[in-house]
Parts: sequence; C-alpha cells; structure tokens
Amino acid sequence: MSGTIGRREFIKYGVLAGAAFGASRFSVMGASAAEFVGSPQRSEIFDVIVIGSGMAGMAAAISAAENGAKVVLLDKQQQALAGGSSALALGGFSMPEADTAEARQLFVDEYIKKSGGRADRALIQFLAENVTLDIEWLIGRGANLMEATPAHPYRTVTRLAAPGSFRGMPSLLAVMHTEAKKLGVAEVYRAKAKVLLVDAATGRVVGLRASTPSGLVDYRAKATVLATGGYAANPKMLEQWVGPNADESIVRGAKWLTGDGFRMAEEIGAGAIQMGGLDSIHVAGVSPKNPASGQPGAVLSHVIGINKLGQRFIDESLGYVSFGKAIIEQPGAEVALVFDQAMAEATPGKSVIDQYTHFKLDIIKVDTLEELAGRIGCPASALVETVTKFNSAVRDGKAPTATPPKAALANKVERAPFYAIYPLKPGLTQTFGGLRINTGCQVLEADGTPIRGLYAAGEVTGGFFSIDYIGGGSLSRCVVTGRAAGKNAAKEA
Amino acid sequence: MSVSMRRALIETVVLTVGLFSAYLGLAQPQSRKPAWLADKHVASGLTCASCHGDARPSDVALDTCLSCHGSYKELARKTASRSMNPHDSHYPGLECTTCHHGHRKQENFCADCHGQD
Repeated sequence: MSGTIGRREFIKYGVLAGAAFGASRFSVMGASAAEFVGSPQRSEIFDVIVIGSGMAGMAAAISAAENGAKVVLLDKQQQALAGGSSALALGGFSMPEADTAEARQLFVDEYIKKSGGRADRALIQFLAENVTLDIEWLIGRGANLMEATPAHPYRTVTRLAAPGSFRGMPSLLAVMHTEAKKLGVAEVYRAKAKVLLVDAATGRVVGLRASTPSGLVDYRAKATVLATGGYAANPKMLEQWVGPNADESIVRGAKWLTGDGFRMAEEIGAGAIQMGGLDSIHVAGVSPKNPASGQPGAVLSHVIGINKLGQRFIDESLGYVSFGKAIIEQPGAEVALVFDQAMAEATPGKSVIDQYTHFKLDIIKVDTLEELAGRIGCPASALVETVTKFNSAVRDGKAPTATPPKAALANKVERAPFYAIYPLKPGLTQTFGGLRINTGCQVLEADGTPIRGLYAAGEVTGGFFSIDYIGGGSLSRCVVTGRAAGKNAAKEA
Repeated sequence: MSVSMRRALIETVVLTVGLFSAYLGLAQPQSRKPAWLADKHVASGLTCASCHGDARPSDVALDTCLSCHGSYKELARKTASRSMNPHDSHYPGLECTTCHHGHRKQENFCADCHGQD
C-alpha cells in the first residue's frame, strides 16, 4: 500500500476491489485489495443509492423515494441508453391467473417445475405473493399494461406493456422516469460504480466509488441497491461459468451488461447460485437481423420447428427457451418455424406477423411446402414427409405419437399459403445465475449471512430461474425485487 | 547557442522533417494520414475549443454537435434512404459521439445488434 492518502482511505472505508487507480492511470494489481492513489474529486451523500436504470433499478428508486428516502440512481451509460436490457425486452409480466391463494400456488408450482426443481421456493413464493399488487402499483404510477392473457400451456397469465411486444417497454420506462423525477430521485448517467465502500467499524456497505467523466466520485448512503443486470456481455464470465464457447452466442440484450454488480458484491464476500453451464442462461431462437425483437415467441408453441434435415426436433409446446437451447444441437445451429394460413389468421400468427412487419423483418410466404423447403434450405421430400406425419398425429390439439411428440398446442400445417420464420439462431437473452438474496432482497454471503446495507434486484439476483423459463418471469422479478429492495433500503435511512 | 547556430539547427530540423514527410508522401500517397472527424472540422476553420470548450479532452455534448448540424429530425431526413435510419432509432437522443468519434475511426453502433446495412 503506497501513498498515505490511499492507506487512510482504505482503512476508513475498508475498500476492497481487484483494481487500482492512479490520478491519471489505471493499472490492474491482480485479485487483491484495491488501492486508490489520491482522493475522489468529491463525495455526495444520499439515503439510498440504486445502480442501474432498468426495470429493477427504476422500481427500486421510486419505491425508496416514496418511502421517504433521498435517492440517487446511477447508470454507467449515457442517458439515451437508459434502461439496460429492459428497454429491449418483450415487455411481458408473468402473474398468477387470479388474486387467490390457489392461483398463486399454481404459479409457484409452474415456476418450480420449469426450473427443474432448482428455484428457491421462498423466492418464488415471494414473487407470487407480490407480483399482482406490484403491477397494480406500476399502473397506479401511470404504467399502461394490456389485459392479462393465458400463458399457454402454463397455469399463469401474462400482461404486456402496451402497445405490445417489444414496443411497450420504452413507454413504460419513460413513465417510470417521470415518476422518479416527481419524487426527487437524482439520476446520474455516465457514472460507473467501481467498488463498494465498506465501513471498517461496522462492516456495513456505506456506498460506492464511481468513475465519472469528471473523475472519481464517492456516493455515500445508508443502503445500496444493485440493479446492474446480468453478465451476458462479459465474455470472461460466460466462459468461466457457462462454458468455454458461450461467449460466441448472439447477445440479445444490452451489450454493456458486464456483470459489474456480481464483481463488486463478490469482492466483499457475496454468495452466488446457479451460475454453471447451459442451465444458467436463457436462450431463445432469434432472427439474427434483429436479435432483440426478432423473437417469434408469440407463435412458437403453436407451430412446428424444422431443422436443416427437414425434421422436427423438439416438443415446441415446451416453450421458447427449451426451443432456443435445442437449436444449439441442430445441424448448423439454424432452424425455421413453419405454419399455414389457418395459423396466420389465428391470434398467435397474426401477432407475430404484426410484430415482424413492424420491425421490418421477413416472413417467408409461399404456395407449396416444396417451395418452402427451398427457401429454408432443407430437402423438400423430408419436409413434406415430416408435415404429413405430424398432421396425421394431431388429435384434439395434441400429437403424442408424432416424432418427437407434441403434448399441447398441436395445429396441423395444411392450408396454403405456407409460412416460415427463418433463419432462427440461438441468442443469449439473460443470465439466470446470480447473487444470493433473501425475500427482503438483502444480498447474502455464501453461508447465508446478510451483508448489511446491500440489496439486489432484477437480473443480478439468483435463485429464481434455472434450465427453462416462463416468458415474463424476469420483468415480474424486476418489479417485485426492485420495489421490495427500494422499500427495505429506505427503512435503513 | 549563437543566433547563427540556432538558425542552422532549425534549418536542419525543418529540412529533415520536410524530406521525411516528402518520403512518406511518396511511399503512401493516399493513406498517409487518416482524416479523422476532428481533422475535417479543423480544415473547415474550427479549433479544438469550438467543440471541446475549454479545449481539454472531453466528450463533445449532443447539443454542441446539433448547434451546427441541425436537429436529429433534420439529420434523419439526410439518412432516410438507408434501410435502418441511424438518426431515427429506438434510442432517441443518442449522443453523436456514440458513432461519430472525433479522433478515431467512426463506428456503426446500430450494427452491434442489427448488423451492417
């Protein structure tokens, strides 16, 4: 430790980190304690600090402010890019079918099942108990959400941010910025949190040190909320936790979600869960031309997926994440969704055609299956055989004898013209693994000890999802954990 | 150092630099020096301070760019023929310097997700 000021600062705040700063240089000193040479340009004092301006961060900031806290919200990006991955999200909020104990139990069961039994039951229960109220809270603050629709085949419903898929979130976030401003939340952009500050006397997190265009600034507060998103855009973390080739995926969300919250929290001893392998990420089949909104989830479960061999390869009714992960195993990791005119006229088909038209993405439309095979690059005879066999296996909306079987939402492909959404490639939507939290949204050490003064919300948290996923779960988690983290952080002030 | 010595030294330096520049010019007639956005601004008669204010290295604010180049709406009209109009995107008010770097190669921020046009 060189430099008297650096040493004094270190002892005073107990700064721990993996990097060192000079007045005008940056040098890495390995994974040891940090050293700051010189003092920050200034220090600002608030009650609550929220890092990240996505759905979780905005919910936390508004919630903390309406509970009486003086709040600062920091984001490392410029203001035009506020919202992180939330600004690029489909906009679905997953909820129980009704505001009853029975419906909440069904919701919990579906989520536990979808995670292969790995989700933290207490956290899912917490989600089920709060999401309906918290969405009403959003609506009370001016958010415009569409009516709930069934999330077939799950016993849950989804409410979309109006006016619809991928179009609603920018409006919803704008409403939240207006509300935050009304409540006096200070939003500071281009402020990148670098290290958490831990009080040496009490062990509490008492703020953070951020780099800004005008130098290092210390933000001090009674509580800090990490709403920094996941690590889908951090190649090292993907390679380390998901697999050696994981960083080659198409990244669908914001390209600056580099796991900053994990890094800072782990440096002070936070625990993390479900970080390993393909189970720890969300993958969807996407149109490479527009990997965020070129996601045909509205129709996917109702139609058939076809690979380069002209064959089906998964039960499409399992949903878009099972489908997305299955694409990885197909020849060329590239597939098509195929449907007919009847589906194009039904709600799911109309919805996806509307979405693709809005985002200027192509949907193939031809008169025969042979032509369709030519367009999606598979043998015509194989496609015709697959469709013929599938059609003959469809009974009462199911195709249990098809190869592979389809348990629900089986619709024949028989009425011309025929449609294909092609190509679809695997795209990394979000990371499932994250920091351990309790139902108070306090960040926990690996042994379960809460880290005082530190909260987390949204994609940075773990314990909610693994393996597979029900669409809309993530934004619901953002609003529920964000609101709770903000409220609990405000209580510490 | 006497005046004559200093003059001789300056002349030598000037001559050397001049010859070296001429050599570079012959060797790389087209791409000797990339014309960064900042160089184009200087060639139009602007100074560092025109964009940077106090002339210290700093990001140039959106409003500074728009004060000469017109509104985002006007810029969008100029690039309307592109299949994805970079000045009419889902990120309104994006800082110009996101793509238009002054002292290094330009980039297409949209292409990070949407690929090149």
